Amino acid sequence: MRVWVRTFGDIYLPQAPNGLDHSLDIPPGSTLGDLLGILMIPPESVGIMSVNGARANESRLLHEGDRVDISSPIGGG
Amino acid sequence: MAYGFGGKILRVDLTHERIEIEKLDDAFYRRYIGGMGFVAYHLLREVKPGTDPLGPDNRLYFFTGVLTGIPVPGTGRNSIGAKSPLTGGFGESEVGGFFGVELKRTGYDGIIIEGKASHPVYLVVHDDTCEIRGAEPMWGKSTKESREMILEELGDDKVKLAQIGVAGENQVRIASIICDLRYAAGRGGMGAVMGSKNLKAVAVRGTKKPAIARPDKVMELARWMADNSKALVPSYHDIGTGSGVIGMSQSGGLPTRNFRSGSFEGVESLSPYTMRGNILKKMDGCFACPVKCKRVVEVESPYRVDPAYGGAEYETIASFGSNCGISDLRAIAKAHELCNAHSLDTISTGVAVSFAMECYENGILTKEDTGGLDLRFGNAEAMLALVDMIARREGLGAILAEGTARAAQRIGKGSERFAIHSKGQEIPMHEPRWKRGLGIGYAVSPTGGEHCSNVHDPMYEKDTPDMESVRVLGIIDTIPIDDLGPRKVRLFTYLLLYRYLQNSLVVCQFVPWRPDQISDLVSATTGWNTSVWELLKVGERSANMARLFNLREGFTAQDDRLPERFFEPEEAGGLGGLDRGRFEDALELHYAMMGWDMNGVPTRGKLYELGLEWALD
Repeated sequence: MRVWVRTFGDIYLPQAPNGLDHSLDIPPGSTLGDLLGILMIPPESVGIMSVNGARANESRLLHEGDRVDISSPIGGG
Repeated sequence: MAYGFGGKILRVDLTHERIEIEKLDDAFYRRYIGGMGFVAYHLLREVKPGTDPLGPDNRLYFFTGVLTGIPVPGTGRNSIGAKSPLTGGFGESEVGGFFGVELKRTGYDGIIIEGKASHPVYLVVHDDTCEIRGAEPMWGKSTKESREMILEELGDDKVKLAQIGVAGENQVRIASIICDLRYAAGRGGMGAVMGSKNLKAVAVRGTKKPAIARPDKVMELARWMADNSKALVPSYHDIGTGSGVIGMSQSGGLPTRNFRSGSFEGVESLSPYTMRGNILKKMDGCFACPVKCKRVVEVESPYRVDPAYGGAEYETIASFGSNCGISDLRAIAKAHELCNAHSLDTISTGVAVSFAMECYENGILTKEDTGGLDLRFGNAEAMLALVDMIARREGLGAILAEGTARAAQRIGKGSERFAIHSKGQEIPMHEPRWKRGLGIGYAVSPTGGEHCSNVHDPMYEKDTPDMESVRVLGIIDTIPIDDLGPRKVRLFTYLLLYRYLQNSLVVCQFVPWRPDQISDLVSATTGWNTSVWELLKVGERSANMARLFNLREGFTAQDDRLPERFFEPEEAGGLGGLDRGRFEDALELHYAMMGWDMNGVPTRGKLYELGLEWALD
């Protein structure tokens, strides 16, 4: 199934053309935690995650077409 | 030979049109290092208690630091200071870009402006020469128009400018000083001080690169940052400081509708991805910096936004966006352009507008007061009109031009509870009900509500690069976001000293140098055999001098306060309010850790320890 991922803050996706956002196919039944593993994002580097705009944790089951936002801890601006 | 500094500053008396050169000895640089340290020292030494911030006896300081202008990321900054017309206390604001580098290259490490010109003028410093020139044709013009006129008059497009627009000329107490159109010394009303002196601009042009003691070591560090900045702060590079808005809203930490809420239903429209896909023209940056966190935006309709003014930072996006209930990035871009053209601080101006919106929605202000504006949250047209009115001191704008705290006093009718400020300066776009340690910083900041010299709690909850940075200071273990106990106070206190060192040097916080690397940079640049310990003491000197200045102006521990709103829960089931008892305990503990007494007054022992015995009085 295909999901869309955007990252914010200090999280970099080497797989993405611009390093920040892309879509990818993951096995059905994958959780947000599984997605972090596929993207090689260490859980300790994550501050906040959401699925379709709602906060979520690693156990959240993902579905086809989900939009996932992954942010590192947020500092100043 | 001195390395890292020129050893001299300019003193310009506008009243008598007198220009003098003052020499400073090496020990002075090592003790106070530049920027905020120089501002605090000079304010204490030469601005008498009770001085009118908008009178000729106030000073306006432009200072660089010992690292300014060395070819290393994060060193393209300078400090601008004065007694603040917004708070009546210590005023200081740092700005990026290229002005500070160009000033340093003149051979002067700073400029002190005193007195008041009899007519509009601008100052030109070109290497060793300094001249006061008439600015009557530029008065009343936008920063862009007057910049073009000055560059044409000087016949040199490499000149760098610090200047004001009409807000500064009108002595609006939330006026900024704009450097080269895109960079703002925003906070504390420094632009109003410049306007009060009839000083339209300071133009600098220098050809002398600062001497460096060990260039090889400096270049080695510069290469390290160039190689690692993309990995350390990728989103600053690619999408800028607005990277956090989505996560902040989901955490309840995005100031929304004058800080009533921490989550904004229109946040997706403010996302950096929305900006990148619609109005972003390119990323831009400061001197020698690969991070390039600045944006340049262009909008054609429904507002025309001139890319010459750059683009909105996170603070601007939130202050004119979520905090005014507005989800149109084009309107926010226009507000940013207006602020840079008129020289207004985007944080204070946005909060002044959101304050007025809350007053309007509660019937305290009516259309009769607003000049017919329907000033409800979310009305972008009304927001833009009010920004212009503030700059021109027209109608309700004239009241808000005094800053939110004074405006609330003037309006009355219970509006004081909607005035979100500390010591008279509007609170920036970070929510202390989420970042709990940050509230201590808002309360004790000598400039009033301020987010840069502060702790952003989420960065220290996990093993982030920021956490690794403070381990150099002895903060070993991570600390939860909502902790407000001794461990958080210790983290805040140590960070404060480091931030004040950064403000004194004057280096950027978005270039992720660790304290040990900063120490290496200072050693390699100046030739001093310095250390993190010695440099933190420089930061501590700055903190204590700023504190002493405010105490002398009549501030007490009672002024180290947060708006009542932050002790109440956010609306609509958001975050809970701060616990007053825990907050008071944290403040008291911070005083103790700083070596201050129960009233927040630095002890004799602390002042002697820092070599500030001259300030004992």
